[in-house]
Amino acid sequence: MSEERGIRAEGVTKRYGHTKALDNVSLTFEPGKIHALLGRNGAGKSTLLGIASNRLFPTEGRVLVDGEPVTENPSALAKVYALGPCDLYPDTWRVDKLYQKLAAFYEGFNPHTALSIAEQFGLETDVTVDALSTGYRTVYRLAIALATTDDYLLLDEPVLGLDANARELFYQLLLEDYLEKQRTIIVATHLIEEVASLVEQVTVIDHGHVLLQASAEELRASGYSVSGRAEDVDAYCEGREVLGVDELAGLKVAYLRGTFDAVAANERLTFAPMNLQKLFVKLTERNN
Amino acid sequence: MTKFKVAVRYVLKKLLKQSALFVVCTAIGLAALQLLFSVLGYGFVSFSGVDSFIIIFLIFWTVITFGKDAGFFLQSGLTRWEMFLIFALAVVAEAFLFALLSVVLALVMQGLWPGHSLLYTTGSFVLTVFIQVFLLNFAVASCALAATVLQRRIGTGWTAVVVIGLFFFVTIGLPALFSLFIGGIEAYGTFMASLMGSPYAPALPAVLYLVVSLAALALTWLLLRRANADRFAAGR
Repeated sequence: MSEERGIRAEGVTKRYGHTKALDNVSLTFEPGKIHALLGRNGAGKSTLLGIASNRLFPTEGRVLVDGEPVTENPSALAKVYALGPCDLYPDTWRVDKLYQKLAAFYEGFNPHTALSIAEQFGLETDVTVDALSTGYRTVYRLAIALATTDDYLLLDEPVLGLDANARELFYQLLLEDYLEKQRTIIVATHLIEEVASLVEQVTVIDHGHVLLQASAEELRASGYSVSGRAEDVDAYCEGREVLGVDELAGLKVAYLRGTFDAVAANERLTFAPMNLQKLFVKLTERNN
Repeated sequence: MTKFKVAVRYVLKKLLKQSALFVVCTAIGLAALQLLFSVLGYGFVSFSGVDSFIIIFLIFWTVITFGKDAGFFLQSGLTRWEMFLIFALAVVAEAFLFALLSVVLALVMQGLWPGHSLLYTTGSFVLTVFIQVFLLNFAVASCALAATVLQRRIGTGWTAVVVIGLFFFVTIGLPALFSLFIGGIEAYGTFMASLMGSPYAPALPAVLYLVVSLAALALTWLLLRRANADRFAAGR
């Protein structure tokens, strides 16, 4: 078996008819880190995670887990738990019974942990899955995901339908899970700012291509915003790489790549660090 | 223990539990009927519908079990090949279990009430009958499995079209095809008659059931091998 660790996509293409959901994607998710997989609707996030968890087949290329191809491979699949966008569990089962059944399938899975997590979210587990609201359907699955001990945890839109309090609790539990198990977690989401403080690596995909992959720190340091009167901002931006601008009533905010230039700055301009959400929006806007 | 072994054990345990429940319920139902007939003064009434009950159970059990457990297994990290093996094994196990039950039941009934056997009247063909019933059960369950997987792949409407089309092909298309050849329709008639035991030639239906079963399992694998997991999601 290979010594290589992590999840690696090699030239992965996925076609649905004439549409390419992923186009020759090659990237690596390093082990032991929390990754954010960002992208707009239809960017290919779910498809990539689907292939990495054997839910989908790639049209071309392959995904490797610790050096082993994951497609139809029991030993690679034994290291991955994926929470996908749709339920594969029977919706006529009672939640607590489902947790008990799962104990046989996952080494290290403790149904009491899952029950305790569900309880923290206020979910009553003595009901069938089809009786749960959208938010609680997410909760019962999150409780499973967080109670597993697999080396790789893939979460596709994990906070779908959760209110703000539940999302906060989930991020807290995710961080505790990471600190305790030191496993690789990949979170595909639209809610960038919510995960910004958690993640170490960020991957942005758009239209089936990888736009960038870098550490969250590098990304934050890779750009900044400058705001002020439009003509002052335009003057400052000349000759610099502008990712995008927002304009309102003569005021302008420009988002730039690189580091803030103190020499060219003046008191009429305000500078701020780049936030991940803005960077993501401007990058994907520009790409479109 | 590997996930495959866990899943096999899970399905077989479920089969045994639900089969036992079915047998108990059927026995209670039949006993109640006998009691009712006795009270009404008809005495012992032989009942020949047990085979039909078994066929219905085999179809329902296969369809429901696949519907519930296919997604569960894929979500739990089993491969499509492992899933196919598990369901193929389940189909064989249910066919075997109910063939055994049919034969045991026939022998018991014959022992208790000679001449009033529910299923069979002679003990000398027990093995032959067992094989025949096993293969019939196998064919029914594997066809139910193939139809369920087909429904997951192409939807209920198209599956209904395929099943109805197949029915018309066998009842109308096939005889029409045979009639194109000299002596063809007679050969078809002889074949159909022998399937119904006239003349008694147990090998013919046995071979037919086996061929149908293997074809259905082959179709099941073809449909499963490249299927997206979302096809097996709850509520589809």
